[in-house]
Amino acid sequence: MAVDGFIRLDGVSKHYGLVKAVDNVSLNIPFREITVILGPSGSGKTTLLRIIAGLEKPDHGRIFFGKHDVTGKPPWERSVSMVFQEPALLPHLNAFENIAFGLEAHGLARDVVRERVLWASKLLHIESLLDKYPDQLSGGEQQRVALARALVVKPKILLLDEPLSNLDLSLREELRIELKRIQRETGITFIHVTHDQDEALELADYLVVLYNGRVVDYGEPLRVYEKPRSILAARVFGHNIVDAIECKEETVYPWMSSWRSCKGRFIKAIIPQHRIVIEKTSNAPCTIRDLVYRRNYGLAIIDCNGVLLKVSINLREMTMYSVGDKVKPIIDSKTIIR
Amino acid sequence: MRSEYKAVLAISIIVIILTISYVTIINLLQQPMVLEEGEDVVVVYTYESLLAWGPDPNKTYDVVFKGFEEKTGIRVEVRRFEDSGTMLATVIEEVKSGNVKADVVIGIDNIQIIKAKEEGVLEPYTPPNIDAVPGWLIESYDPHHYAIPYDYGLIAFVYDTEYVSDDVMEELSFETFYNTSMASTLIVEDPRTSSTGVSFLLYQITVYEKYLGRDWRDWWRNVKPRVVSSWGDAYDRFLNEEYHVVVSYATDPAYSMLFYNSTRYRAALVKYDDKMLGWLQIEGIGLVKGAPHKEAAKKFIEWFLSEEVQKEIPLNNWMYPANKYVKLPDVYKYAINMSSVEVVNLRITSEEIESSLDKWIEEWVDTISSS
Amino acid sequence: MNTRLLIVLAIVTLIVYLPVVYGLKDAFLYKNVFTLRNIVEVLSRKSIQNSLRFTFTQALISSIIATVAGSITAFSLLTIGFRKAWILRALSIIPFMAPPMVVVTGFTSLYGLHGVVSNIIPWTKVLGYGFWAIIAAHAFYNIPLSINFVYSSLVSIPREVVDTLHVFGFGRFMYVLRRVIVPYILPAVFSSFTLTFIYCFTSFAIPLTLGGVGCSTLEVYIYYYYKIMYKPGLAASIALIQYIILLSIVALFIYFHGRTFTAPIGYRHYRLSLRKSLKTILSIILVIVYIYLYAPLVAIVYQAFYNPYTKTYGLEGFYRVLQLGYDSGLGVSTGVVYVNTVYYALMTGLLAIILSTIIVYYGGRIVDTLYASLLAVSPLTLSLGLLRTYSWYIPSYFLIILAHTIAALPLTTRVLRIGFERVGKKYIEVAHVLGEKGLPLFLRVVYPLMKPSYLVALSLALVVSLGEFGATLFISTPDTMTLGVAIYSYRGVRDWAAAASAASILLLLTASILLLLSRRMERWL
Repeated sequence: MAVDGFIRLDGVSKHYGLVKAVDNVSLNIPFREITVILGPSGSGKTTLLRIIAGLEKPDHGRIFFGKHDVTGKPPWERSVSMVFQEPALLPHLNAFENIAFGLEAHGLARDVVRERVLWASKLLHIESLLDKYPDQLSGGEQQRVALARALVVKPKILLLDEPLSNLDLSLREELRIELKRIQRETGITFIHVTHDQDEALELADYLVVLYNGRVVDYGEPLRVYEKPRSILAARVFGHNIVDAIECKEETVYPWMSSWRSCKGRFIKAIIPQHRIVIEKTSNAPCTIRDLVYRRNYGLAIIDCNGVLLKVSINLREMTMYSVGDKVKPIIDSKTIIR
Repeated sequence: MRSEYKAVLAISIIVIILTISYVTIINLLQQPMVLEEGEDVVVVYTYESLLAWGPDPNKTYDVVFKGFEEKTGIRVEVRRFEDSGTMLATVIEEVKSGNVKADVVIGIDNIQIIKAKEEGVLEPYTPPNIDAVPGWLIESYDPHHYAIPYDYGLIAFVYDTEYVSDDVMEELSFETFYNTSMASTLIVEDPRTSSTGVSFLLYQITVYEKYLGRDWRDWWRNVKPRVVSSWGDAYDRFLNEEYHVVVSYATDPAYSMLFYNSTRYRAALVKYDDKMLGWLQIEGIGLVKGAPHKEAAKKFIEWFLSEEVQKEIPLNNWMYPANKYVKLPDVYKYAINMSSVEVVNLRITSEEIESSLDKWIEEWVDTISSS
Repeated sequence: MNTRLLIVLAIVTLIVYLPVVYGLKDAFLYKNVFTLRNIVEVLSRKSIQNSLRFTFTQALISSIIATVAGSITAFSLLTIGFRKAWILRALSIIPFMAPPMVVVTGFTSLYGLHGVVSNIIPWTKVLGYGFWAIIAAHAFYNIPLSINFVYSSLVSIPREVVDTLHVFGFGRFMYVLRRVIVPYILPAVFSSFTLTFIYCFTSFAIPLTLGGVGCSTLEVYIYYYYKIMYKPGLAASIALIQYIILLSIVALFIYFHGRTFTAPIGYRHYRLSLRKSLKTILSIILVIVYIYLYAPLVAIVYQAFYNPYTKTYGLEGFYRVLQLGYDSGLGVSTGVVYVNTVYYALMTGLLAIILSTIIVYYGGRIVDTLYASLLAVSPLTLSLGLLRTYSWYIPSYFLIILAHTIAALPLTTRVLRIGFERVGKKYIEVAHVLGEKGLPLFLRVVYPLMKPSYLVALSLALVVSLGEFGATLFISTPDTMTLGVAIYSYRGVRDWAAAASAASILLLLTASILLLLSRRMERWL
């Protein structure tokens, strides 16, 4: 396998019956970084991951690991490892034996195996659990063992299929940090699939957004989030998508007075919710419909002449507003899609 | 790949150990598994109950088989089959496939001989002591000596005197069973599965068609007796007093005299024009075509027809011995005396049996089933 | 998949099917010429047409009765509770394995003219002879099938489903039954129905002995044309027709069996609350069915001690059967018979397990159907085929092992197939990604997760071998006789007590194996 370069997917498609799970996906995934594939359920992200793993054969397209075409190769001939949503630990083996599984498959000597298992368990902080059986471990512990098992074979690429989705929130956040740390320590290429935006933004060095089997955006995470290149990507993030008119270098929105008179091109504006600020004024075009508490911030849903906008509000400021208040939205930055 | 080889090795070892222990134990129990090559063996195929009905079957076996071994130094390997039909079928298979293991077959009856000749599984052989067998017997069986009769039995109605009177059976005719109460006491064997059944059917057909000139199916239509698949089954039910007349052999009364000292069970044949008509089931011994130990086989056939063996027949096979020089034991006075019987076998030719038996049995099934 | 192992599968299939082809080829030969006249002849005979109609009808009715009775009994097992049910389940298989000749004797002694039961309850006489006797005997044999199939499925209904209904106040039993339970167990019911149908269709000893002339199944005619009339062309033609007819039923069986629910590993069982009156009724049904199943077996054991000629009781039967020296009635030492029986059983167990593993691992639905269709081959034809194909090169004891294995394969492949599917793709995928494949994958991942199925398959193979009778009778020589054939030989020399004693020993062996292995298996569930 090549050392540096890209994992290249070239026109990869797969359908099940009439449904196209993966539709002509072409990507260049960088080595030695964390790539996150973000998409809602049914977007084909799991299928894509399984194709990279070799568990599914694509109907069209090729997959390259660096210079090597691995399209026809079965999973055991690719230098990949995988962690699934359920830990899938072999119930008849204890944690040590589970972790050692891949090493023994390659016929490594007993002491080498022992050494490596200890290394992996230290990495995941599970040294004390090694002689326990899966049914004696909690969900989080099992997932750590699964991770250790996947890492101990020192793969070039680690594939993660929403491994944290079944865990509770605090555990999830904890493990996210762990994952990043492990990646930095080991330098293994991570391809992580998730539907959780927070997770995606936290982990990704490189973000790919998938919708209905198609790649709708990709690149540096913050850029993708702030300025998505397609409406579908915006939809994945849950940004506000607003009809607007480009009117002589000014963007005019439906709640503005110049909406009727302005003549210009009709566009769609993508406005992330933290890019709007609201101001209580008397002549305001919008009304607060709802105030919602999220964990670290508040959300105000305002109705502006029939258009609903989501606005992030600092929790400290939440108390200043009530439902029914008249407010004026000030848009900080937006992306324009023609 | 290590575990792959380990597993295959482990299983192979288990199999080998098992097989070796098996073969060793079998040998220890002194039953040789492999037939030795060479002329000092003769392989005999016969049916299970050959000579097995006497007071001491083990002794009889020793007389017949060990006796031959002692006399000639040739070892006898006997293979017994469920019945003579299976035996014949196996021999036919062997000859057809060219893998002949049998040398001698014992138990081909006068109906099977037709088939055996047709399939070409026997080689004609005339033993030196052929004259001990009556000419009429050979004529009735096979004049070409593909097989030689070694005994014969008379199909008879065996009845329980506690339920059926001697007077009725003295004047027995087939029509006696047209009486419903008589019909309900009768049990008969299925010609499709029992050689006794086939013989009885032929008996009845021959008497009706050749002697009386009537449609044989009438009898079955009118009587509709209980039919069971084997002689053993029929006889058991008879002994169990479920049925009181059973189609069996004329020597049965002698059997019950010897074993139970009882004259309760007697035998009767049908009488027409004051003549007792009887059908013989003749059993023969033959040389298998392509027998691996031909000379030994010939010696055995001669031995089997000799007085030494034939004198065992009456009390152990409960049939009349073919060897005319053998005196019947005293107890045979309770059996039907052959000299007073008119044998009807010769009224029907083997060709006719060969071509019509299938059809007759088909018609029989039809007649019996339509009720 | 792996081409190397696909070749292995092909070879195995060839070894198993070549005898079938060789046995059936007579159907197309008349005086060594390829022709269809045998088949035409056979189909035009009225006796065969009637027989076909009869075979079908009795199979249908027997299957319906056996399936209904078995399903209700399976339900009754629920009232006992899961822990204790395993004993009854294991015990129910014993009647299934009892040698047919012996069962017939048992039936006759119970329901026949002088039967024990028919003397007390006169109407049961109809079960002693005739059409209904055949049905009753077939039901006896096959109720255990439905009991086991349906119970497995019944007990696999996800707990949450039952709990949900309870929570929502739909505790009413009939509702739960109709909406939940019946749809879940329907595939199991149908799969046991189709399997029972196949067994009843190919039944031979029972219709022959308990039925009259009009009650001849196709197997009886195969026997007749082959053994008595020696017209192998006709015999094989009937066997061929039977095979083709049953192929569709076999396909149905595979279909339903594949859709049967079985509990995943580590499943926790639900509790069903039943009204007391219902519980009582079910318990009574349970008792009656088990009495029905075991009465003939008890009759058999009773016969072992009873000499019908002298009308006395004694142990002569057992003495004869347990002395290990030469027995002229058998033509071989009894000791040899025991050694044979055990050896063949062990080898069959091994061979069946190995072959089934290969079949299940690399086959699919078509392969499954192919192997299950071995059930549709007449044992007579199969034995003939085996002799023709292999007797040149293989000692007869191995032929017997092969015949037993072929008899066991349909069952063991099903059991292992279900077990294999329960393992689930996930573990195999994990192993693949970690670099494990092929035989090591099987040994390290699949087999450990399938151990209970292997135990069941092994016990089935052993028990099938012990009870196999038809093919063994045909192929065996005195040297290679098994206990099952010995029973038949004892009957041939009219020693009923010895026959019953041998049968009792066989039943004891069967029961021990089933109970022992079931016990260990339950622990793993």
